[in-house]
Amino acid sequence: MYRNILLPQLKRAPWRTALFVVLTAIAAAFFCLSVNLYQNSRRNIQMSGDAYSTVVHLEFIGKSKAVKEAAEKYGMSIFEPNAALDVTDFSLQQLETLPGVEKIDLRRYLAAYIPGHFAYTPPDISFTTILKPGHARDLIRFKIIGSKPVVVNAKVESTGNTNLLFEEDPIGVQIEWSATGAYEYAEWYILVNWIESVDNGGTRISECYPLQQAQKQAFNNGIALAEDEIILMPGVEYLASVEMNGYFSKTSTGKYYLVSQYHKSGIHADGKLHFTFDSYGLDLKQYLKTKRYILSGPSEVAAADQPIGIWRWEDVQNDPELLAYFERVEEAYQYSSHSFYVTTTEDLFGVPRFYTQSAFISQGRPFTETEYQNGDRVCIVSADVAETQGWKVGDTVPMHFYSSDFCADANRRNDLFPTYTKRNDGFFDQGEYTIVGIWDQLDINSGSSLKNTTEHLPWNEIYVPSSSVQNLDTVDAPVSGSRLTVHLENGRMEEFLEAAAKVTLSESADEVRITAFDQGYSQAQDSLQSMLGTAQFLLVLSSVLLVVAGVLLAFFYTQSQKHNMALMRLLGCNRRQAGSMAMLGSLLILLPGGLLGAAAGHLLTDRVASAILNGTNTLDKPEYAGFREIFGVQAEVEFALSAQPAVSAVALAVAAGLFLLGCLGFTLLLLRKEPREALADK
Amino acid sequence: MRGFQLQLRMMLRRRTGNALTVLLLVVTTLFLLLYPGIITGAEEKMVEAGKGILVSGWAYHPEDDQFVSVPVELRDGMMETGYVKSYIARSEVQFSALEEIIQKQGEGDTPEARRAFVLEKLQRLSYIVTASKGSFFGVNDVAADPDLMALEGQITWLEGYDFGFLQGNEQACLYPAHRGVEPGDTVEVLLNCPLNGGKYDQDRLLTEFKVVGTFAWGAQDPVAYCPLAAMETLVADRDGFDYDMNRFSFVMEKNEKIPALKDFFVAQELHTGENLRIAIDDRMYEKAMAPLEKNLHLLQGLQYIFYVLVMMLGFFLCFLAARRRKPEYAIMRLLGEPAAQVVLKSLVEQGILCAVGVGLGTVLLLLGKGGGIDPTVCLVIVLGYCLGAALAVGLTVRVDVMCVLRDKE
Repeated sequence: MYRNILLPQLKRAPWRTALFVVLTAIAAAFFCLSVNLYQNSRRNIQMSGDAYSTVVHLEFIGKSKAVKEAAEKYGMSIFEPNAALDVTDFSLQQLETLPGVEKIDLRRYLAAYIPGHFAYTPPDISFTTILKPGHARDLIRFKIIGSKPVVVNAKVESTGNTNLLFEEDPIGVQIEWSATGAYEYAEWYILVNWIESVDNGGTRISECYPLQQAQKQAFNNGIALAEDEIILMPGVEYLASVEMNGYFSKTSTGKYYLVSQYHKSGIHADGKLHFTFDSYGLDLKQYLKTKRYILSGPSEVAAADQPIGIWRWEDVQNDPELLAYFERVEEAYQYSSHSFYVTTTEDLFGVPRFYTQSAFISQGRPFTETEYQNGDRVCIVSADVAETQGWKVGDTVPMHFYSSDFCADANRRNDLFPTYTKRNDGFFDQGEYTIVGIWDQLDINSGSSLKNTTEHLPWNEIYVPSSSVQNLDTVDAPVSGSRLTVHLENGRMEEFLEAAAKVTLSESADEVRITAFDQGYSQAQDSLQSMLGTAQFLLVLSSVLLVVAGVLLAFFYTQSQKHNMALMRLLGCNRRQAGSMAMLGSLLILLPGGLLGAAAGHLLTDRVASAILNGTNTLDKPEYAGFREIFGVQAEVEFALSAQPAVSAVALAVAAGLFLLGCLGFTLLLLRKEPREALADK
Repeated sequence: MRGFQLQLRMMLRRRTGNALTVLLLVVTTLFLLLYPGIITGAEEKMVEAGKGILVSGWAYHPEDDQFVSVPVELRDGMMETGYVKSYIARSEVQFSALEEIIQKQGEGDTPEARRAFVLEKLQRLSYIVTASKGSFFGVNDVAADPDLMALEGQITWLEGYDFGFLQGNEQACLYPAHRGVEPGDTVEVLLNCPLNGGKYDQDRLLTEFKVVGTFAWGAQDPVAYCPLAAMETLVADRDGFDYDMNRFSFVMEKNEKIPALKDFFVAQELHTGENLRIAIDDRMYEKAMAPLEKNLHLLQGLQYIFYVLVMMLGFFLCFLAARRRKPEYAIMRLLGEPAAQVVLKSLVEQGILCAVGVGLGTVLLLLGKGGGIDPTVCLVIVLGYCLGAALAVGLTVRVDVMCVLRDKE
């Protein structure tokens, strides 16, 4: 029945029907545009707000333990000003309870033995192909070339920082074996040196096997020599602890040879052996200033401690204790020469230099949230390490983790290399790590007030997600500014600082210095809020306009159906049937009109958004790329410029609902009138 | 008067429809008048939001940063743009201490004679100075030199001095303590232009500096620091001194002018230069501002689409309202009223509704915002609506009156 009456009725006034459809379409299109615009605004403002992050760095200021001990031991006044320290009496639980704290990233410094990869210092800027090993020590077994014994003067002389040359005429040697197997010794000068501390894990350079007078006589085959002389016999195999100071290059066999001696510039690589003893003639003030190696004392103390690091191999073999000792040295040198710094993190961009963007991902990508959460075995290596090792994004490297004293103290982390010193510790975890990114840093002052040691980023750092390393609890984790970042909710910095000032975070530090950064969020916060308010206001205004237009449209439509409904009721229809007829008519208008309008609104938003995205960006013209070339690969800035089908559908539903509700309301009002009254109503 | 009363009565009879029309006009007016303000407001807020972000830049050499050379003209030109708040720079001039030259090369029996001998010799540019040579840095901030930053807290200052003196132009300096000077002393130095093939055959300047601070310096070659402005005054315009700055960084004053500053550098090809380039670190700024800028463009791009849609809505609704009055207009015509008069009456009726709606909207806006009304927008609304009515009535009065009355739809 409805079809027989309704359709002819609508057809009878085609212009009016078309007008209603067009009006419905316009209203739907308008609202669809408004809602999509609001949704875009909301998401873009959110994205802008998310670009900011608020972090807090805590520094524990005082006199470092190493400096205090060294000054006490050698009776020197403390030269170093207050330093950023590592503390062990810090309570993380207390920090967690402070307001606004979102996440605390306590980074661990680990050492990783990576078999097959020799650790280097960064390539010299002027000689880009030349490398220097980070751990340039080795054990070698050798014989002298020739048939005559050679007497070597081994007197230790100290001339400040210079290594000493004991034999003016080099001796030709034949290398039988080496512990690290990494060097092409035939091309080298060899500096016989002490053995690094391997067993006791104490100070780094005092452990050694001094050659006592009796041993020395035995070594010299009972030949009477001057006090400072030793003799090397032809055909006898000697074991020596050696150190290589200089620059190295890789041979075609994959080994490394010395291409220049930087301590002795007057001598050239000639395959000869020189005995030298590195006195490490320390200028304590200088070392404290540069915060480098742990000290053993002034030059005369160190020189007196030095052994002659050379043994007859036969003597070593006949002494089980000595043999076992050198086996441990061999293992330690093997690990140390292939060891890299690894830092665990839960948020790379909280690391001070990454936060200030003076360090950045130059290739590949940062860690994803999933990788942080799942503990995926992925890593991000420095550009220098990647270059020297020939690593690229996608490569995998096997890492064997151990804890090293050299990784523990932030003040010592100045481009040094971890040293395997505690044999019994072993590796607490190991696994294959995939390189997902390469980071680089700029040689610029970040402008922050953080201590240099807090902000310093060693050039050879490798990052891994904290949860990817097992048994981390076994690693000592003192807290320092360089390894602790507190992430705060944006806008809650003041609240946090106020609360933090009231609690004692460390007893051992003279001062706990709290530095907060919010990248300008506190200044932008009000503007972003205001913009969000404006977007909401626009939506409200659009909605009101839609409501009024919808009601007016519904009013006109029901008015046009007034006489029809009255006639139907006069002809015997009940109120429900007459009302249903009117509502069905409104649906027939609404469906094409609404769909057409929503589609038009959706397409218009999409077209305009596409035009904007493809149009000129005032912040990023192609010619501006040169200004950012130095930062490597740039992360794409995200935008929310699109018409979303779901949003458009919701807009359509709301517009349709309003129109239908309006129609229903006015229809019910009309049905309350008697048919004749409705017909008489002009 | 009687006609006006009739008109009013007719309007009252259709009060629901007319009230809704007025309401629609009020909201339409508010929407169209507020929209441009929203765009302007968004622009202002965007600039405000970006103000707190630190945007810095610096000069670098694409191959090796030890070859950075920023001429004074470039710096001055950049500062003249007004887009840069401040800069930090370091210049470097080779120097030897006169005391050491006299010690090593002086001849004569008395100190005065040895000094006179050296001073006389130094008159000739070909006279080779064999004393140790170091770098005399002109800096305008402690952050201009990494070694100077490392010395922070380790300088013995002359009373009343601190790093602030670097911002002035006093001929004063920080000098290594191991050279045997005390704060308050005066040092005489021979400033040479950078070495050229190891020869000292270029211009050089013997001058003196007041030592305002001393520091421990372990390296062999001496270094000293004086205010950048003082160094510039001494040697910038001097023949033979190829004066420039070898470390240079700056901070933006107005972040919204980043594109303008970039254009300034692009014009000088400093974005792709072989020997000197400028890096601008606006990554954080772009990350935060780019979504807002794009959104602003979307707001602007949709502005006229919104206008057209709102006007179409008004036009058709008005058209519909006028078409509802077809029987009335037919009767008016039957009663002898000319078509033009009917159209005019209809326009007056819609005009009144329009005036009330637009007026109310404007008043509401004035009460809320207090100004900034664009009368063109009001006029466009009135015209758009009245056009709809005129078209509808025009179509009605054109056809046969009896047909209109017979038509039940």
